[in-house]
Amino acid sequence: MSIKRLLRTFKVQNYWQRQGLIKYIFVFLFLGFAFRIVSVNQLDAGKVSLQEKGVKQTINKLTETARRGDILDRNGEVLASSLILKKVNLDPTKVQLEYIPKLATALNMSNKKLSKILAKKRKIGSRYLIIKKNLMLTDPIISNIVKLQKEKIKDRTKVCRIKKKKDKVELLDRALSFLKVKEIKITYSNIKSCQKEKIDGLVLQEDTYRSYPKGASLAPLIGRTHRDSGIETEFDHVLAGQDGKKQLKYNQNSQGSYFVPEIISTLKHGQDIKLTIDSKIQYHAYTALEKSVKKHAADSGSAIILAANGEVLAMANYPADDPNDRSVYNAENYRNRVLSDKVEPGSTMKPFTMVLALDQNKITATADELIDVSKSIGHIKSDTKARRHGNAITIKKILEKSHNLGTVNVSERLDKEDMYSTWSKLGFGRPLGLIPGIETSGSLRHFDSWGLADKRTLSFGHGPMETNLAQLARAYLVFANKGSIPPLKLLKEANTIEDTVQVFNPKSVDKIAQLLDSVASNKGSGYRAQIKGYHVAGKTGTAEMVVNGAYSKKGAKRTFFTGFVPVQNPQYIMAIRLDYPKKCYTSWNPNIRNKCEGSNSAAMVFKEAMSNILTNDKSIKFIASK
Amino acid sequence: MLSHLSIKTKINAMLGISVVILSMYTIVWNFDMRTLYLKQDRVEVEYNKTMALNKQLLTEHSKKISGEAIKNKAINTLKMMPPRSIEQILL
Repeated sequence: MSIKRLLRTFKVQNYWQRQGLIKYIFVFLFLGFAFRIVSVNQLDAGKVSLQEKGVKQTINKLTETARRGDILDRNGEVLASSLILKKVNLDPTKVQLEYIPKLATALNMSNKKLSKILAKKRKIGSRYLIIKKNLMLTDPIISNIVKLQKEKIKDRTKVCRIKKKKDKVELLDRALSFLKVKEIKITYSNIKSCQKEKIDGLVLQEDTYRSYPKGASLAPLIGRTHRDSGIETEFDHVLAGQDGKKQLKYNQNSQGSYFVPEIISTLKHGQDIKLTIDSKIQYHAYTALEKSVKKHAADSGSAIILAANGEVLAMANYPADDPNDRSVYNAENYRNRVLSDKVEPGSTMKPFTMVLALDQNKITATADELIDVSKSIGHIKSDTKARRHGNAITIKKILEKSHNLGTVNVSERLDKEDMYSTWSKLGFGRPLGLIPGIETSGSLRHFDSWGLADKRTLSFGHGPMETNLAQLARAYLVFANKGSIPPLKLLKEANTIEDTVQVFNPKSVDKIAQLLDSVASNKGSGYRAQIKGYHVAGKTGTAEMVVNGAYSKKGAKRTFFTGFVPVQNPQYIMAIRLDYPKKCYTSWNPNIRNKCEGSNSAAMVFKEAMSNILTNDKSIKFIASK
Repeated sequence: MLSHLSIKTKINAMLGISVVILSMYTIVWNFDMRTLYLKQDRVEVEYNKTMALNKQLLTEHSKKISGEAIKNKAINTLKMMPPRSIEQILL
């Protein structure tokens, strides 16, 4: 038999067996692998399968923090901004002693002081020490630290370390020790090694800080982040933006998309908000208010200044805290009293009674028209005080002297429906929508429920109405807009939904405006509001404070002044309210102090603030006195 | 020169070469994407730094020109006082 044949026979003989064996081995291996895959992935994996763990490990999620928007004034000046500050963090256990002098110089500290602090922290084993915080980006300390961290090798300091090293053992001794014939004691010796090293344990960390450069002057209007007040809270959804989330997948199957991170949520930085506020006007209003509240020992004060088109130029409140001081938070000092308090506005409402009467031809408001004040009307008595200017007085005199009985006499000629409708058109009892979260809409009771006394008291700002200061100032816009009233605006770029409403006849408004000019004259109750070189018109007001639903028995009052300047085409409308002023000099007797009225308290704020504002406004003509 | 090769072979050869070229390009593109991503990251960091500095300077400016600082300087340092009376002088 040839060899070839023999081999063929052998192959044929063993073919089935070998093939079968190999098949079985493969089937077995396949089953083994399959079982292992299932067991590794699912059965032995615990709560989270290895597959999931693997996916998690290969996915890197990145969060990008949204930048909070700034709050700007009408001229683009920053009122609130999120700044990035730095802090220097040290690990006292790691900072090399040789670097302390350099570090002290970089931190602008004395070497001795820094050494002492570090030694103290090292002693207790602390690894965290914030040595400097709230550092501005332009602070030289930051550049010093960066320089220190990025020192070139040649500039680095030589750091010496003492290391323990095992002493050498003779080969024979080691062999004897191995054979357990001789015992060897392992000894160590200290070796000093010096080499140039980088500074260790020094980190520059980032902090965000909301800064309010105008301090307390705008605090109640702007509020503070994470507190329920002001623009910061009301427009948080616009200012905050939205953090972005990205995902990097280390997936071999998607090599192409490896460096194109999958965006889970898009990063949206917060938007800036531009207010109609003029920070310079705001400053003058605030300082005048602060001065007056202190001078008259008032509980608080608030003021608002409007432009003729209804834009809010200033909204000041006192007392107010500096929002940059994080250690103090008194909610009362962040209350925006201009919008959140509803009060009886007192005599500041008298001009509207007169304009309405003039509009309806119930009065002429001329010098020869006399209003009888010799007889009492309802509970408004005609006493000697009421008759001190005569038994019959002109409309001009009524406004000049803020005569209640005279005003009531005029209101007797008006229908209550007309008064309600006009007051409603002026915006009383309706929200302004400036900062809805804190705003009170005031109240104006429907005329159906008015008694005679209600109508009479309404004519001089009491009774069935309560208003906030912004509503009162807005009503005075009729004098700047020929009898119509535009909606108020606090956000520069926002569209107002409300339309301008025509309330009065332009002629009637002009006539009463001229009469109000005399209120702020030497003869009028608002003589303290006069500003040299400018024609000022306005009306004083005093209202008893309501405490727990009843008028204060202590004689607590609120004093008001609402004025506008210049009388022809007014550019500024300002309303001021002081709560419970206690120290006011009266014009005729400086020794009588506790007799505060709008004329000797609130009117002075108007003069103080407006004279500064007008000095800086070249568009308003200065009338020099001779 | 390649006339003796069949069309099928030529197409196969072309497909083979294009697969190799595409593979090489894929590597290049991937590298470019990575470089671009890193560059974008660096630029973003720089931009954020500049923005932060800009904001800080604007805030400092706003603080400095606020009336209080100016008024204090005018009264205390420059001894400026408001006029007591204003009169027009006819020349």
